[in-house]
Amino acid sequence: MIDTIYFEREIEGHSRSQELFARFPKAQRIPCDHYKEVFNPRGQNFRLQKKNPSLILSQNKGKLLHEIPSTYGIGGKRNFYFSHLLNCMYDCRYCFLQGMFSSAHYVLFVNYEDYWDEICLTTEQSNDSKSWFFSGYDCDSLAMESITGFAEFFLPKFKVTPEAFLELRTKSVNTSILKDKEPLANVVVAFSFTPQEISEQLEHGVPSIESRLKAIHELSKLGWQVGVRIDPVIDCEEFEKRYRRLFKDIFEQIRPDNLHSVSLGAFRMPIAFFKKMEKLYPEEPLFAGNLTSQDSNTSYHPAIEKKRISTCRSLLLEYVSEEKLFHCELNIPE
Amino acid sequence: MADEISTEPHVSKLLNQAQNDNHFTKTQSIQLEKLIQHALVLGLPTKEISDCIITHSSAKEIISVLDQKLTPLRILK
Repeated sequence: MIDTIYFEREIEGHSRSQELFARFPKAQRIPCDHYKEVFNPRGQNFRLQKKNPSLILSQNKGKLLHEIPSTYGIGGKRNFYFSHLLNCMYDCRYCFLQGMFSSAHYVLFVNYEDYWDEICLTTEQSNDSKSWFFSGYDCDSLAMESITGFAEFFLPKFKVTPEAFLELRTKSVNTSILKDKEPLANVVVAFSFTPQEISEQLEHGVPSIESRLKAIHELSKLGWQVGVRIDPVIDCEEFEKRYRRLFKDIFEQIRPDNLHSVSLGAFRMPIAFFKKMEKLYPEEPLFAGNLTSQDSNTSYHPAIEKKRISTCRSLLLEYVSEEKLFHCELNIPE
Repeated sequence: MADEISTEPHVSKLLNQAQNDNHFTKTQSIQLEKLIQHALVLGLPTKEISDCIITHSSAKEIISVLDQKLTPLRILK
Protein backbone atom coordinates (compact mmCIF):
# COMPACT_ATOMS: atom_id res chain seq x y z
CA MET A 1 0.00 0.00 0.00
CA ILE A 2 2.79 2.43 0.87
CA ASP A 3 5.83 2.34 -1.43
CA THR A 4 7.62 5.40 -0.14
CA ILE A 5 7.90 6.89 3.32
CA TYR A 6 9.34 10.34 3.72
CA PHE A 7 10.22 11.20 7.29
CA GLU A 8 11.49 14.20 9.15
CA ARG A 9 14.95 13.35 10.50
CA GLU A 10 13.97 14.62 13.93
CA ILE A 11 11.27 11.95 14.34
CA GLU A 12 13.07 9.02 12.78
CA GLY A 13 13.35 7.40 16.20
CA HIS A 14 9.79 8.17 17.31
CA SER A 15 7.93 5.01 18.29
CA ARG A 16 5.17 5.62 15.73
CA SER A 17 7.73 6.16 12.97
CA GLN A 18 9.49 2.96 13.95
CA GLU A 19 6.21 1.03 13.96
CA LEU A 20 5.43 2.26 10.47
CA PHE A 21 8.91 1.46 9.17
CA ALA A 22 8.40 -2.06 10.48
CA ARG A 23 4.91 -2.22 9.03
CA PHE A 24 6.17 -1.34 5.53
CA PRO A 25 9.66 -2.88 5.45
CA LYS A 26 9.87 -2.71 1.66
CA ALA A 27 8.98 0.96 1.45
CA GLN A 28 11.73 3.27 0.33
CA ARG A 29 12.67 5.62 3.19
CA ILE A 30 13.60 9.17 2.36
CA PRO A 31 14.63 11.64 5.08
CA CYS A 32 13.79 15.32 4.98
CA ASP A 33 14.11 18.26 7.34
CA HIS A 34 10.49 19.35 7.15
CA TYR A 35 7.44 17.74 5.58
CA LYS A 36 6.65 20.91 3.66
CA GLU A 37 9.73 20.32 1.49
CA VAL A 38 7.89 17.37 0.02
CA PHE A 39 4.27 18.32 0.50
CA ASN A 40 4.07 21.98 -0.37
CA PRO A 41 5.97 22.60 -3.63
CA ARG A 42 3.67 23.79 -6.37
CA GLY A 43 3.57 22.05 -9.68
CA GLN A 44 2.96 18.63 -8.19
CA ASN A 45 0.20 16.64 -9.84
CA PHE A 46 -2.38 15.84 -7.21
CA ARG A 47 -4.30 13.63 -9.59
CA LEU A 48 -1.29 11.55 -10.48
CA GLN A 49 -0.10 11.26 -6.87
CA LYS A 50 -3.58 10.15 -5.82
CA LYS A 51 -2.99 6.91 -7.71
CA ASN A 52 -0.17 5.95 -5.38
CA PRO A 53 0.34 8.34 -2.49
CA SER A 54 3.43 8.24 -0.34
CA LEU A 55 3.41 8.57 3.42
CA ILE A 56 5.13 11.54 5.02
CA LEU A 57 5.89 11.34 8.72
CA SER A 58 6.13 14.62 10.52
CA GLN A 59 5.49 16.29 13.82
CA ASN A 60 3.16 19.20 14.06
CA LYS A 61 4.96 22.02 15.82
CA GLY A 62 2.42 24.64 14.83
CA LYS A 63 -1.06 25.34 16.06
CA LEU A 64 -2.64 22.02 16.90
CA LEU A 65 -6.25 23.02 17.47
CA HIS A 66 -8.19 25.36 15.26
CA GLU A 67 -11.36 27.11 16.27
CA ILE A 68 -14.31 26.68 13.99
CA PRO A 69 -17.43 28.80 13.92
CA SER A 70 -20.36 27.80 16.07
CA THR A 71 -22.42 27.56 12.85
CA TYR A 72 -20.38 24.47 12.02
CA GLY A 73 -21.03 22.80 15.32
CA ILE A 74 -23.46 20.12 16.35
CA GLY A 75 -24.80 21.71 19.47
CA GLY A 76 -21.65 22.76 21.30
CA LYS A 77 -20.55 26.34 21.78
CA ARG A 78 -16.82 25.71 21.69
CA ASN A 79 -15.71 23.87 18.57
CA PHE A 80 -12.25 22.97 17.41
CA TYR A 81 -10.82 20.81 14.71
CA PHE A 82 -7.49 19.07 14.68
CA SER A 83 -5.67 17.14 12.03
CA HIS A 84 -3.39 14.27 12.85
CA LEU A 85 -3.46 13.39 9.16
CA LEU A 86 -3.60 15.42 5.97
CA ASN A 87 -5.35 13.86 2.99
CA CYS A 88 -7.58 10.89 2.57
CA MET A 89 -7.44 7.47 0.96
CA TYR A 90 -10.78 8.10 -0.73
CA ASP A 91 -11.13 10.21 -3.83
CA CYS A 92 -14.34 12.19 -3.63
CA ARG A 93 -14.57 14.58 -6.49
CA TYR A 94 -16.29 17.27 -4.40
CA CYS A 95 -13.62 17.21 -1.69
CA PHE A 96 -11.90 20.52 -0.98
CA LEU A 97 -8.64 18.78 -0.06
CA GLN A 98 -7.88 18.45 -3.79
CA GLY A 99 -7.99 22.20 -4.05
CA MET A 100 -6.31 22.99 -0.77
CA PHE A 101 -3.20 20.84 -0.94
CA SER A 102 -0.51 20.72 -3.61
CA SER A 103 0.13 17.07 -2.93
CA ALA A 104 -1.99 13.96 -2.48
CA HIS A 105 0.61 12.31 -0.24
CA TYR A 106 -0.52 11.46 3.27
CA VAL A 107 1.07 13.54 6.01
CA LEU A 108 0.87 11.84 9.38
CA PHE A 109 1.76 13.93 12.42
CA VAL A 110 3.07 11.42 14.90
CA ASN A 111 3.07 13.63 17.98
CA TYR A 112 -0.39 12.57 19.20
CA GLU A 113 0.57 13.30 22.79
CA ASP A 114 0.97 17.00 21.97
CA TYR A 115 -2.50 17.08 20.44
CA TRP A 116 -3.91 15.46 23.54
CA ASP A 117 -2.17 17.95 25.86
CA GLU A 118 -3.68 20.77 23.85
CA ILE A 119 -7.13 19.18 23.95
CA CYS A 120 -6.88 18.86 27.75
CA LEU A 121 -5.73 22.44 28.12
CA THR A 122 -8.52 23.75 25.94
CA THR A 123 -11.10 21.67 27.75
CA GLU A 124 -9.89 22.93 31.11
CA GLN A 125 -10.17 26.54 29.93
CA SER A 126 -13.89 26.11 29.49
CA ASN A 127 -15.86 26.80 32.63
CA ASP A 128 -19.36 25.86 31.73
CA SER A 129 -19.71 24.76 28.13
CA LYS A 130 -18.74 21.57 26.39
CA SER A 131 -15.72 21.58 24.09
CA TRP A 132 -16.06 19.69 20.86
CA PHE A 133 -13.11 18.39 18.90
CA PHE A 134 -13.61 17.42 15.29
CA SER A 135 -11.04 15.09 13.82
CA GLY A 136 -12.26 14.37 10.31
CA TYR A 137 -11.68 17.70 8.69
CA ASP A 138 -8.47 17.29 6.70
CA CYS A 139 -8.80 13.50 6.53
CA ASP A 140 -11.20 10.64 7.19
CA SER A 141 -11.04 9.88 10.91
CA LEU A 142 -11.11 6.10 10.62
CA ALA A 143 -10.25 5.04 7.09
CA MET A 144 -6.53 4.72 7.76
CA GLU A 145 -6.77 3.49 11.35
CA SER A 146 -4.65 0.44 10.59
CA ILE A 147 -1.78 2.80 9.75
CA THR A 148 -2.41 5.71 12.07
CA GLY A 149 -3.67 4.03 15.23
CA PHE A 150 -5.49 7.31 15.79
CA ALA A 151 -8.66 6.02 17.46
CA GLU A 152 -6.65 3.43 19.37
CA PHE A 153 -4.74 6.28 20.98
CA PHE A 154 -7.46 8.88 21.44
CA LEU A 155 -10.49 6.85 22.51
CA PRO A 156 -9.03 5.80 25.88
CA LYS A 157 -8.03 9.43 26.46
CA PHE A 158 -11.53 10.72 25.78
CA LYS A 159 -12.93 7.93 27.91
CA VAL A 160 -11.34 9.46 31.00
CA THR A 161 -12.14 13.03 29.95
CA PRO A 162 -15.93 13.13 29.69
CA GLU A 163 -16.10 16.92 29.44
CA ALA A 164 -14.30 16.79 26.09
CA PHE A 165 -16.34 15.64 23.09
CA LEU A 166 -14.97 14.04 19.98
CA GLU A 167 -16.47 13.66 16.55
CA LEU A 168 -15.01 10.96 14.37
CA ARG A 169 -16.13 11.69 10.83
CA THR A 170 -15.85 8.92 8.31
CA LYS A 171 -17.00 7.08 5.24
CA SER A 172 -15.09 4.02 6.32
CA VAL A 173 -16.63 0.73 7.29
CA ASN A 174 -13.45 -0.18 9.09
CA THR A 175 -15.06 0.21 12.49
CA SER A 176 -13.60 -2.77 14.30
CA ILE A 177 -11.66 -0.43 16.58
CA LEU A 178 -15.00 0.86 17.88
CA LYS A 179 -16.77 -2.48 18.02
CA ASP A 180 -14.03 -3.80 20.28
CA LYS A 181 -14.53 -0.99 22.75
CA GLU A 182 -17.20 0.11 25.13
CA PRO A 183 -19.30 2.95 23.64
CA LEU A 184 -18.37 6.39 24.93
CA ALA A 185 -21.00 9.00 25.65
CA ASN A 186 -18.67 11.80 24.59
CA VAL A 187 -17.74 10.35 21.19
CA VAL A 188 -19.90 10.63 18.10
CA VAL A 189 -19.19 8.51 15.06
CA ALA A 190 -20.48 10.49 12.13
CA PHE A 191 -20.96 8.98 8.70
CA SER A 192 -21.20 11.08 5.55
CA PHE A 193 -23.63 10.20 2.80
CA THR A 194 -24.79 11.26 -0.61
CA PRO A 195 -27.48 9.35 -2.55
CA GLN A 196 -26.39 6.14 -4.21
CA GLU A 197 -26.38 7.60 -7.74
CA ILE A 198 -24.21 10.51 -6.66
CA SER A 199 -21.90 8.34 -4.60
CA GLU A 200 -21.27 6.10 -7.59
CA GLN A 201 -20.34 9.09 -9.74
CA LEU A 202 -18.35 11.14 -7.28
CA GLU A 203 -17.10 9.07 -4.34
CA HIS A 204 -14.31 7.03 -5.86
CA GLY A 205 -12.92 4.24 -3.73
CA VAL A 206 -15.48 4.86 -0.99
CA PRO A 207 -17.37 1.91 0.56
CA SER A 208 -20.88 1.49 -0.85
CA ILE A 209 -23.85 3.15 0.78
CA GLU A 210 -25.10 -0.30 1.71
CA SER A 211 -21.94 -1.19 3.60
CA ARG A 212 -21.86 2.19 5.33
CA LEU A 213 -25.46 1.68 6.42
CA LYS A 214 -24.51 -1.70 7.79
CA ALA A 215 -21.64 -0.13 9.72
CA ILE A 216 -23.79 2.64 11.19
CA HIS A 217 -26.45 0.10 12.11
CA GLU A 218 -23.96 -2.10 13.94
CA LEU A 219 -22.42 0.78 15.85
CA SER A 220 -25.80 2.16 16.77
CA LYS A 221 -26.90 -1.25 17.98
CA LEU A 222 -23.79 -1.49 20.13
CA GLY A 223 -24.69 1.78 21.80
CA TRP A 224 -22.35 4.22 20.06
CA GLN A 225 -23.73 7.67 19.47
CA VAL A 226 -23.88 8.10 15.71
CA GLY A 227 -24.17 11.13 13.50
CA VAL A 228 -25.34 11.54 9.95
CA ARG A 229 -23.63 14.08 7.74
CA ILE A 230 -25.35 15.14 4.55
CA ASP A 231 -22.48 17.24 3.44
CA PRO A 232 -22.08 18.33 0.72
CA VAL A 233 -25.59 18.37 -0.63
CA ILE A 234 -25.24 17.79 -4.35
CA ASP A 235 -27.72 19.12 -6.88
CA CYS A 236 -28.85 16.30 -9.14
CA GLU A 237 -31.69 14.90 -11.21
CA GLU A 238 -34.56 13.42 -9.20
CA PHE A 239 -33.14 15.26 -6.23
CA GLU A 240 -36.07 14.87 -3.87
CA LYS A 241 -36.70 11.23 -4.75
CA ARG A 242 -33.04 10.28 -4.26
CA TYR A 243 -32.56 12.13 -0.99
CA ARG A 244 -35.89 10.88 0.32
CA ARG A 245 -34.81 7.30 -0.35
CA LEU A 246 -31.38 7.89 1.19
CA PHE A 247 -32.86 9.28 4.39
CA LYS A 248 -35.34 6.43 4.64
CA ASP A 249 -32.52 3.91 4.23
CA ILE A 250 -30.35 5.68 6.81
CA PHE A 251 -32.92 6.12 9.54
CA GLU A 252 -34.14 2.57 9.25
CA GLN A 253 -30.69 1.57 10.45
CA ILE A 254 -30.27 3.82 13.46
CA ARG A 255 -31.75 3.39 16.89
CA PRO A 256 -33.36 6.79 17.60
CA ASP A 257 -31.82 6.94 21.08
CA ASN A 258 -28.37 6.62 19.62
CA LEU A 259 -28.77 9.24 16.93
CA HIS A 260 -26.72 12.16 18.16
CA SER A 261 -27.10 14.65 15.33
CA VAL A 262 -27.72 15.18 11.66
CA SER A 263 -26.02 17.95 9.78
CA LEU A 264 -26.54 19.47 6.38
CA GLY A 265 -23.89 21.32 4.44
CA ALA A 266 -23.94 22.96 1.05
CA PHE A 267 -21.33 22.39 -1.64
CA ARG A 268 -19.13 25.41 -1.10
CA MET A 269 -15.44 26.20 -1.20
CA PRO A 270 -12.96 29.03 -1.82
CA ILE A 271 -12.75 30.06 -5.47
CA ALA A 272 -9.03 29.27 -5.64
CA PHE A 273 -9.64 25.68 -4.49
CA PHE A 274 -12.41 25.23 -7.00
CA LYS A 275 -10.30 26.56 -9.88
CA LYS A 276 -7.56 24.11 -9.00
CA MET A 277 -9.99 21.20 -8.86
CA GLU A 278 -11.48 22.20 -12.19
CA LYS A 279 -8.02 22.13 -13.75
CA LEU A 280 -7.30 18.74 -12.22
CA TYR A 281 -10.53 17.21 -13.53
CA PRO A 282 -11.74 19.24 -16.52
CA GLU A 283 -13.95 16.35 -17.62
CA GLU A 284 -15.92 16.32 -14.34
CA PRO A 285 -19.64 17.16 -14.83
CA LEU A 286 -19.95 18.28 -11.20
CA PHE A 287 -17.76 21.28 -11.98
CA ALA A 288 -19.91 22.24 -14.96
CA GLY A 289 -22.96 22.46 -12.72
CA ASN A 290 -25.06 25.48 -11.81
CA LEU A 291 -22.28 27.06 -9.81
CA THR A 292 -21.38 30.61 -9.14
CA SER A 293 -18.39 32.37 -7.64
CA GLN A 294 -19.05 35.23 -5.30
CA ASP A 295 -17.76 36.55 -1.98
CA SER A 296 -14.59 34.47 -2.43
CA ASN A 297 -16.52 31.16 -2.56
CA THR A 298 -17.78 28.89 -5.30
CA SER A 299 -21.15 27.33 -4.60
CA TYR A 300 -24.42 26.52 -6.27
CA HIS A 301 -26.46 29.54 -7.29
CA PRO A 302 -28.08 30.85 -4.10
CA ALA A 303 -31.62 29.98 -5.26
CA ILE A 304 -30.61 26.38 -5.99
CA GLU A 305 -28.67 26.03 -2.76
CA LYS A 306 -31.54 27.41 -0.73
CA LYS A 307 -34.06 25.14 -2.42
CA ARG A 308 -31.96 22.00 -2.07
CA ILE A 309 -31.08 22.60 1.57
CA SER A 310 -34.69 23.39 2.32
CA THR A 311 -35.86 20.17 0.64
CA CYS A 312 -33.35 18.10 2.61
CA ARG A 313 -34.32 19.83 5.80
CA SER A 314 -38.01 19.07 5.29
CA LEU A 315 -37.26 15.46 4.44
CA LEU A 316 -34.99 15.05 7.44
CA LEU A 317 -37.52 16.50 9.83
CA GLU A 318 -39.68 13.48 9.11
CA TYR A 319 -37.08 11.47 11.01
CA VAL A 320 -35.29 13.82 13.39
CA SER A 321 -36.26 16.63 15.70
CA GLU A 322 -35.22 20.24 15.11
CA GLU A 323 -32.82 20.02 18.05
CA LYS A 324 -30.80 17.32 16.38
CA LEU A 325 -30.70 18.88 12.94
CA PHE A 326 -27.91 21.31 12.17
CA HIS A 327 -27.17 23.35 9.09
CA CYS A 328 -23.42 23.67 8.95
CA GLU A 329 -22.14 26.67 7.13
CA LEU A 330 -18.42 26.65 7.01
CA ASN A 331 -16.30 29.14 5.18
CA ILE A 332 -12.99 27.39 4.69
CA PRO A 333 -10.12 29.81 5.18
CA GLU A 334 -8.09 30.45 2.04
CA MET B 1 -3.40 10.74 -17.69
CA ALA B 2 -3.42 12.42 -21.10
CA ASP B 3 -6.12 10.04 -22.27
CA GLU B 4 -8.31 10.94 -19.35
CA ILE B 5 -8.26 14.63 -20.19
CA SER B 6 -9.50 14.32 -23.71
CA THR B 7 -11.66 17.38 -24.26
CA GLU B 8 -8.79 19.87 -24.69
CA PRO B 9 -8.21 19.46 -28.49
CA HIS B 10 -11.94 19.73 -29.19
CA VAL B 11 -12.16 22.89 -27.14
CA SER B 12 -9.28 24.50 -29.03
CA LYS B 13 -10.71 23.51 -32.38
CA LEU B 14 -14.16 24.91 -31.64
CA LEU B 15 -12.73 28.02 -30.06
CA ASN B 16 -10.58 28.68 -33.12
CA GLN B 17 -13.56 28.12 -35.36
CA ALA B 18 -15.54 30.75 -33.47
CA GLN B 19 -12.66 33.24 -33.31
CA ASN B 20 -11.91 32.93 -37.02
CA ASP B 21 -15.40 34.02 -37.96
CA ASN B 22 -16.15 36.57 -35.24
CA HIS B 23 -14.42 39.14 -33.10
CA PHE B 24 -14.14 38.13 -29.48
CA THR B 25 -12.80 40.34 -26.73
CA LYS B 26 -10.41 38.69 -24.27
CA THR B 27 -13.21 38.29 -21.71
CA GLN B 28 -15.55 36.84 -24.31
CA SER B 29 -12.87 34.36 -25.42
CA ILE B 30 -12.48 33.15 -21.85
CA GLN B 31 -16.26 32.89 -21.46
CA LEU B 32 -16.60 30.94 -24.69
CA GLU B 33 -13.73 28.61 -23.88
CA LYS B 34 -15.38 27.73 -20.57
CA LEU B 35 -18.76 27.25 -22.23
CA ILE B 36 -17.31 24.94 -24.87
CA GLN B 37 -15.47 22.99 -22.18
CA HIS B 38 -18.69 22.63 -20.20
CA ALA B 39 -20.69 21.77 -23.32
CA LEU B 40 -18.40 18.86 -24.07
CA VAL B 41 -18.37 17.68 -20.45
CA LEU B 42 -22.15 17.88 -20.27
CA GLY B 43 -22.55 15.83 -23.42
CA LEU B 44 -23.69 18.46 -25.91
CA PRO B 45 -22.75 17.00 -29.31
CA THR B 46 -19.78 18.68 -31.00
CA LYS B 47 -21.91 19.26 -34.10
CA GLU B 48 -24.46 21.19 -32.08
CA ILE B 49 -21.74 23.41 -30.63
CA SER B 50 -20.25 23.89 -34.08
CA ASP B 51 -23.64 24.71 -35.58
CA CYS B 52 -24.23 27.26 -32.86
CA ILE B 53 -20.94 28.93 -33.74
CA ILE B 54 -21.67 28.94 -37.49
CA THR B 55 -25.30 30.03 -37.24
CA HIS B 56 -24.89 33.02 -34.98
CA SER B 57 -23.19 36.14 -36.15
CA SER B 58 -21.73 37.78 -33.08
CA ALA B 59 -19.65 36.75 -30.11
CA LYS B 60 -22.33 37.96 -27.73
CA GLU B 61 -24.98 35.91 -29.49
CA ILE B 62 -22.89 32.74 -29.60
CA ILE B 63 -22.15 32.99 -25.90
CA SER B 64 -25.75 33.67 -25.00
CA VAL B 65 -27.21 30.84 -27.10
CA LEU B 66 -24.63 28.32 -25.95
CA ASP B 67 -25.22 29.30 -22.34
CA GLN B 68 -28.97 28.79 -22.79
CA LYS B 69 -28.42 25.39 -24.35
CA LEU B 70 -26.34 24.32 -21.38
CA THR B 71 -28.66 25.50 -18.64
CA PRO B 72 -30.87 22.39 -18.58
CA LEU B 73 -27.84 20.13 -18.76
CA ARG B 74 -26.09 21.63 -15.75
CA ILE B 75 -27.41 19.10 -13.30
CA LEU B 76 -25.74 15.90 -12.25
CA LYS B 77 -27.31 12.76 -13.70
